[in-house]
Amino acid sequence: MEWRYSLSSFATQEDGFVDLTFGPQEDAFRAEVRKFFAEHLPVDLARRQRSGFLTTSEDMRAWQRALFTRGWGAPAWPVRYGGTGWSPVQRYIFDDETGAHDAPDPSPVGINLVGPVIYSFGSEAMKGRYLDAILRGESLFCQGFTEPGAGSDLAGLNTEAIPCADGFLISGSKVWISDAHFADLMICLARTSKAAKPQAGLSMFIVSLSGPGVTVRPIRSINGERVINEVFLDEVRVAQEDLVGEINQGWSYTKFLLTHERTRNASIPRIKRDLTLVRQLANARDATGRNPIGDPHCLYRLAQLEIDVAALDWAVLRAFLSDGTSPTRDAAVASALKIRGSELLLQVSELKMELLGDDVLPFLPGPQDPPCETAPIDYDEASHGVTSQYLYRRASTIFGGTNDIQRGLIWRNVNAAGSFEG
Amino acid sequence: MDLRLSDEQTLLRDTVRSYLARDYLKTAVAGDLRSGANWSAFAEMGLLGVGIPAGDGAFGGPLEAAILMRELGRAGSVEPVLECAVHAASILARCGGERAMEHLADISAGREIIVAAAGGVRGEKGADDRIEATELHDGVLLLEGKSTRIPAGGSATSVLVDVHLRRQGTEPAPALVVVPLNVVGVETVRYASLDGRNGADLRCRSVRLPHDAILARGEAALAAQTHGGAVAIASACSESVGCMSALIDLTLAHLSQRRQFDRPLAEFQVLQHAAAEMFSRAHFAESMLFEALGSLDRPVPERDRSVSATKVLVDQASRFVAGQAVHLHGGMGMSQDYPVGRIFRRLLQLRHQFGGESHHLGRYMRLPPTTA
Repeated sequence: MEWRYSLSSFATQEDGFVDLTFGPQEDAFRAEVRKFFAEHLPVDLARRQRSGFLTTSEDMRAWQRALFTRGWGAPAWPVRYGGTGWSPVQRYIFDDETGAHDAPDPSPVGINLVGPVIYSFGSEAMKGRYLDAILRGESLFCQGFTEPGAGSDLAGLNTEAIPCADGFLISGSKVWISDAHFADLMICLARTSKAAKPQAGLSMFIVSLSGPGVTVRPIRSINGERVINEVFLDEVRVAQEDLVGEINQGWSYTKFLLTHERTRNASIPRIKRDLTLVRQLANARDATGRNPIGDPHCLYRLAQLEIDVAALDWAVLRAFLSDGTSPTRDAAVASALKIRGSELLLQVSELKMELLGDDVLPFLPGPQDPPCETAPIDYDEASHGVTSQYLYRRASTIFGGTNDIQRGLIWRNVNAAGSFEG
Repeated sequence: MDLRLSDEQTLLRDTVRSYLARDYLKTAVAGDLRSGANWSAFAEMGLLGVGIPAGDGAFGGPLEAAILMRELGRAGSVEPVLECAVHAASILARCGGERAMEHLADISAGREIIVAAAGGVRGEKGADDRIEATELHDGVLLLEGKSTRIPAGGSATSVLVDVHLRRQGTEPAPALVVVPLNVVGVETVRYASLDGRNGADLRCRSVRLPHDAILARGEAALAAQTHGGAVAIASACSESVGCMSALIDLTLAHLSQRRQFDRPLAEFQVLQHAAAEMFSRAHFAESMLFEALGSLDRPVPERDRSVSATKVLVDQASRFVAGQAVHLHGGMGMSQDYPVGRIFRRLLQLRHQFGGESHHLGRYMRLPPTTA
């Protein structure tokens, strides 16, 4: 697919007019990707993804390893650091097929957030130390930014990094940290200077979670699975070489990290996959005599969702194909994609739950807990995890910058541009 | 037309509210509730008789039940008052007859926890989810079959079920039966439900009960069942309004106390507006309760249409208010250790427990509007 606008609306195909279909090379690439999934994605791993429960660390590592072996560990990274050199459309297609095949999102924090920060701002030594391990799935990261007193106002954080003989001693506490209970490392924002402007005194560090002084305490989450944590740092020793980039530059790295990923937070592959499952669920229930799809309201909601998802899908594709000439426009769009993605993710989950009927009422243990002694009678296995997934997805309007913060960013960027035209 | 509560209704509301604020023990629903402090207190205060229409000095009826459930929702109560003292009791009261009255007395006194599994008010039940009852010649009623996804069934001592009643050579008729869970042949499969309470499925294998276990049959059984279901939905909607009220109060407190960017969240206009919208939606949901409560004595199609309309409206408001409460609390909204998350899950349960939004919107669309 090419998206080069022509000034003349009567230009021919050869002049590179808008082409709204995937070309033969892109189709061939898609076929290659599908073949890879068919041959290398374990059936049970896909089944676990489909269940709705969160990806286990074992599955994350195993899948990352498989991708790495194929050379696809981090498609969006620069080639010299292990990226694939794919075109934006190829990257879109790869993400699309990842969702369609129930493959896990590759190591979200390491691949999508930490890696880019390290190769953009880290020293050569740091790149050598971490990038390969991230690519291989050997090092899993969590994101240690938020604190009890610093959520949306991240710059107000209090964790301190005090210089010492061979590095820093970091003390403070972080909260709502996903996956800290199995991650190897944490990318951590801490204060290194009490500057007048709080943003100017922050630095970014890579902290090992297995060293002395680190305590990870689970927070019971409404979805019933082990995911979020408190992380307490008590004079945790961090070597000088684990300071990312320059001291007191942490805020600019944070802004980079939070805005680098422009399309992933729209969750479009996940949403599209869920819609497919919704259609299957509705049709499957015909056979047992329950026929919610015959209910006009369900039909309407499914139709409306499909329409809304199509719009999001096209917007995501446009974002992949953006030529980058209007950064304020791109930034506003990224926020809009995140907001809309979170809304549709929740809507499709809610529709899934309705189609389960009464099977939504039992709240069974997750895969990490001891199983029920006896399962509910005639319980549809597809129900298992749907509710847990919906409850976890409530966080999608909060994490990655709340939807309110995102709307503020849209305003700032659109207002700066002064026009819808960008 | 008068929407003001009577003195007795106001007294009921205030008595319940002050007990819940002062003495209510928030413990997990476990063990035999009949011996629990809260259930005994509810019995003593007469609250477990609320499903019995007023008379003989007692207060009771659908409006009183709704008042009670609103307060229980607001306080985050976890006992099966809705399923037992409102739903099952309303069906029993409509059945009438000696046996049904005995069950009602047992419920009121806190001696038995009978929950209703009677179908028709829940979402689509599978075609094979039924209990066959056969009246044998020796005065025995034989039960065979299953009833699934019974809300609060895991805390019950008995379940009020609808059965297909067969007599020799006749067509099966609907009937209502109370099945004690300790009878031979009854298998109860218990599991945690969405809201943290105890759901259950029931299987009957050659369960033998006396003939007088049949509380109503035929048209009378259907009428009692659907009436009780309508009262239960109205009460569930009222509990939802109570839950929404609690969430709004929690959100208001959070917005005042939580500071970011050197000021309370309450100073951000966007968040003020979000809270304002929560208020509006909850207010309209509360107003809609009168649609359901006012319909209960009207002809069945009108009643069902109003009840479904109420469920749809309240559920949509509930989804919005609950979602906003979690959102505005940020990370805290995702934690099971704060009330927001627990109330969120109770609202989620109530949205699905008596048939979801699509089910009721469909039923509403199929029922004819009143010609008046």
